[in-house]
Amino acid sequence: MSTMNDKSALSETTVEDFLKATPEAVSIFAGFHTACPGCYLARFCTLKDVVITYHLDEKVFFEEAVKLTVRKS
Amino acid sequence: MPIDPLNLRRVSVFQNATDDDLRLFAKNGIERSIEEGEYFFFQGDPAIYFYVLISGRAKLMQANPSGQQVNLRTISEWQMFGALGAVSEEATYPASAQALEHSTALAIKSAFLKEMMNTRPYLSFDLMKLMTDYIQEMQERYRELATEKVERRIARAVLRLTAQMGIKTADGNIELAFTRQDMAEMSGTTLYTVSRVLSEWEKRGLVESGRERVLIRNPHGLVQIAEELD
Repeated sequence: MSTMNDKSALSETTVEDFLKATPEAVSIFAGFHTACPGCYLARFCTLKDVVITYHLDEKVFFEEAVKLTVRKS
Repeated sequence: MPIDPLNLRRVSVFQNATDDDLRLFAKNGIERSIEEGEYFFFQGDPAIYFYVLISGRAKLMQANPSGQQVNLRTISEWQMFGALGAVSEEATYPASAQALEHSTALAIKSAFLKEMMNTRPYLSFDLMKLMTDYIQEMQERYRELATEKVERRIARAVLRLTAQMGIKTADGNIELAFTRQDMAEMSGTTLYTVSRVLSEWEKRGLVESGRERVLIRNPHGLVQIAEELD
């Protein structure tokens, strides 16, 4: 998952892979009020899909996601 | 063609098995291939063998005394089914296993699994995990049947199947193979209701439905129905 700490790689990462690699990310999804953790579609949706589906602020969402993965690596 | 024993590690109950154990299971197994519509076993038969589906797709279905069928679950490749005999010697299969397409399974004597479980705790633990998953799924379905609207039940059944065997297409949709009859049985409703709900979803652009397949065009729309999200 070394490629996961930049935005372009993260945007194509599925919710399932992101949560497996970074379980703490549950708090990001909760903070943005999405139903992604535990969703049946977690292995299909990329983080980019999440941003589009829930009309999230792309910049803020990915900043938080990248921050978490960088801290982990 | 005989299977590579190490492929058996894809079975959740065998995920912690040693290579030698996998070889032992493969050696004690008999490959059985059947055509669409044929059965691996029937409800009420003595549960002498458990099965691992190697290729194809099968469904487990239970009939009530008047012959009405309920589809309990769909079995995909590398899933174990019919393992009741390993924990209860006198067990009979509680459901029939019918192939949904040409399918091959490895049949292994339940008594052999039981014998292996005596000396290999990982097998008992992983089998327990499988059973816990089944119980949770059944509890969820029971609650849905008892309390939830039919559209929501169908959406949840479609999403459950999607998680198990959906295929993402190049254009970002998700393709799923099932018959409306399967869906009616899985969501405890009638064929007519499934057709009505699918037509409604089609009008709303959520799905595109064919005879034995559905293309999910707006997966999140189904999640919204299933989870009653805003």
